[in-house]
Amino acid sequence: MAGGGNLVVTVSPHIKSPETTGSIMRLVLLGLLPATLWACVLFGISGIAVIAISVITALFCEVTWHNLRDGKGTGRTWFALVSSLVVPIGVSAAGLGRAAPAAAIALMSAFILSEAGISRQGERRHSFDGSAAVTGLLLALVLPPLVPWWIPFVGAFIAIWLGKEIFGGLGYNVFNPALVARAILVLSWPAHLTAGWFRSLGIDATSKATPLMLAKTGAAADLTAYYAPLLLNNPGGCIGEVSAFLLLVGGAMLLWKRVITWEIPVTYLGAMAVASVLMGVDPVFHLLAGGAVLGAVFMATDYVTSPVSSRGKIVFGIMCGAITMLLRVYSKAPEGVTSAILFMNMVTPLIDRSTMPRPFGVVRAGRGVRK
Amino acid sequence: MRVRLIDLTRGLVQENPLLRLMIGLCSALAVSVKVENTIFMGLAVIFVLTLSNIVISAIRPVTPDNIRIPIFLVVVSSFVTIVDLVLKAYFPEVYARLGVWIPLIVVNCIILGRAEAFAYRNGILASTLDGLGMGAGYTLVLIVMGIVRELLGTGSITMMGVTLISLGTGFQAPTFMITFPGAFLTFGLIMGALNKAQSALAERAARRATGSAGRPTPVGGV
Repeated sequence: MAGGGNLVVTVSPHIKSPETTGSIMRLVLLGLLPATLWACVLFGISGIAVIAISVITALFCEVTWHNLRDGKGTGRTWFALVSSLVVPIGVSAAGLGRAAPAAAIALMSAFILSEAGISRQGERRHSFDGSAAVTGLLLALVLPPLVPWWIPFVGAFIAIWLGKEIFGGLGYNVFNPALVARAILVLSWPAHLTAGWFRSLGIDATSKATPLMLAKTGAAADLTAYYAPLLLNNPGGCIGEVSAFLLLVGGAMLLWKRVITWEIPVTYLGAMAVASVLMGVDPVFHLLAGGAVLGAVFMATDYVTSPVSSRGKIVFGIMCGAITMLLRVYSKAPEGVTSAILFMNMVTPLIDRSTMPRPFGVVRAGRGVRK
Repeated sequence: MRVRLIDLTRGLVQENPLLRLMIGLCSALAVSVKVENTIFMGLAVIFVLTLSNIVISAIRPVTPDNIRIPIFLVVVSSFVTIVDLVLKAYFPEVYARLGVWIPLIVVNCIILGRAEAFAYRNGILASTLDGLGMGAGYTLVLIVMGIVRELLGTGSITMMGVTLISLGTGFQAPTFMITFPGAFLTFGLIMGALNKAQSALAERAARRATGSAGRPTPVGGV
């Protein structure tokens, strides 16, 4: 570029893919869009608020961390951080509890927009690759729609700072950031995270418990009655569990665009089906209920925290599905997707090492050429 | 025999048993749910560590090399028994909370580690200082972890039935902080902060030494 001549001399590779982290993340967001929009319709303002706070806070956390890490705009970044913490607390202390989330959103959006702009020196201050937005959206989708506003707020800080940036940023994180946040939130405020389900459209008699909880306690006699609602408009559950069908539509789009490969979703759900048959529970219900589809399609397939090779992905998917069903059937908790994926994230390096593809022509140790 | 200050200060930061040598972690993670526990646990470890260092250093000439570990253990467990009985007699509530962690000081890596690595090779005075310094380093980290975990996890710090600090009733305490994962998180963040601070200090020192140019090699971190 600097020379401005017509002759461009570069080292290989010469064939470049137009794909970037940003373009992939935009496709993932697009894949989540149908279910997200439908959730916004079903859950109304409460669902929209959780999603907005989660996504905006995630972006805000990313910008502030990067600014502080790179030592640029340290003063204004600290100011933004402190004010977006202090102002909402002050607003709620003043008895205007409902205005607190609005204040937080306004402050954080203003900072994000100012950082996205062009600085006086004419350079872009911060470029967003969309990964924080994906994390924020996924976090919102695994939260109940009626949580207090500060749950997604704190959760996004946990996801981006403790789940991702502290390991060195995108590509270095061991665990799926959104699920790290969910796990810590569940351990911290179990009362908020296991209640606040919304009864949408008045389809069912379920008012407070999710279908999985009812199945666990045996309160739901006929599980087949839940098939249609789980597929289309889930009566109770996390925001992202509104419709398995819309999630699958998004997943199909990602498969078609080759953002994800078939191995993990298919083996994950397949293993769940096989395991539930073996355990004597309803396989269709368990595939549709809870976070199975969301986890298998959008979370277990995270590039950073899942194995690289095709064989590794198959092992990963099968183990995820088996652990999910083990937890659902034999543990105290009704759902096991979060723990299963986090656990398998942890063993991913091990899977990667033992499923490393053999380069062509290399003889495996112990099978050497006989003399 | 020369008395060196470094024997005392080594355990505080640069060879801190928890943050640098990374030994004695399990008691630290378990006990640090409450500041009060950490103070008693720290004092118990300082007591056992210092006295066992003194005795082990003193009986060096008559300790057969082949069976030194059993001998160390006999010495250490005597002092642990003293702590155990004293706590049980005078602080029964604390004793009930610390539970198994007091007898387990016997197998705490810090004590046996310092016996083997330091007291067995150094004079009595140096070993005393080492015991005090290492014990103080352990206690310091324990208290910091206790403050962070108790304050965040329960919303207040209570000692001997008196509430010292409270974050108010509006604060919904994240119980995560008083669970084991919270202990690991707190410990990791403290260690990360220390590494960061040390590398920043080293960088500043290197910059001062070389004038201004030249990026120094990163120091600290594992």
